[in-house]
Amino acid sequence: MFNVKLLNPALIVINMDKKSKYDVMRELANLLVEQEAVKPSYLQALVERENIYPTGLQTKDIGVAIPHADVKHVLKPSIAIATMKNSVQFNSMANPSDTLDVKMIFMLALKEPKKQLQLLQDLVVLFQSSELIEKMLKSNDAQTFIDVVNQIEQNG
Amino acid sequence: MGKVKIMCVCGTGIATSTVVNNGVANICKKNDFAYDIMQCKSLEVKSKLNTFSPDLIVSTTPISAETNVPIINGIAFLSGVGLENIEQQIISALKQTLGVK
Repeated sequence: MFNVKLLNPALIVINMDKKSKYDVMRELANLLVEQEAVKPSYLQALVERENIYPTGLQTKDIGVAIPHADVKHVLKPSIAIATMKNSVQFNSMANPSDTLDVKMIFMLALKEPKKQLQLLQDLVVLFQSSELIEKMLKSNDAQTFIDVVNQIEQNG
Repeated sequence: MGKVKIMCVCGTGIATSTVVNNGVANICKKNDFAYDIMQCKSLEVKSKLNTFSPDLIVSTTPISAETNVPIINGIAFLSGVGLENIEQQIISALKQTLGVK
């Protein structure tokens, strides 16, 4: 399952209270900058990309978003995650003029996508698990969130 | 038997096209199709159409380039919704291609 070494509690925000996708992206990007995972140019690249090629996805249970930008802005492969207190609107990857209500955001800082294919595949598997999504949404803190993912890895 | 050529496309050519590439490759292997796959970003499609001459395009983002090449929406590889359907669509499209090769 998930490469849990990539899950850093400092990069997981639970019940984020923001109203716009820009505020969400800004908060997560700042965390990545603090962890020296990305360059300061990353946020701008994310926003520009999101405006043209949005990353909202409708999974079986909830809307998610997977914002990411060009590898040149990335220093260390990482992932920042937010669960939202109230859903926030992102535009749809499949239909960019449509919006989706998003409850979980996975901000991907990828350095070598082919090597990080496993992480992407794990995300896809995660998106299909109603049980896992529910537990993640119910987690009250970052460590619980990580434990949920760890449990699945042991059982799955 | 001929080889099928598939172009996998996403907005930036980084993350989602990698997942699509992998998904399509697995379908080809499962069905014993000889294949050639490339991935690129949406902006590159127009130029690559001539150099790569794909039989099929699988994309997670709308494509603006004009082409007669069939285009299948690859979002299912990411969202997990409609995976069986997309597999059927891809197999069907590739079989049609191979039928004329």
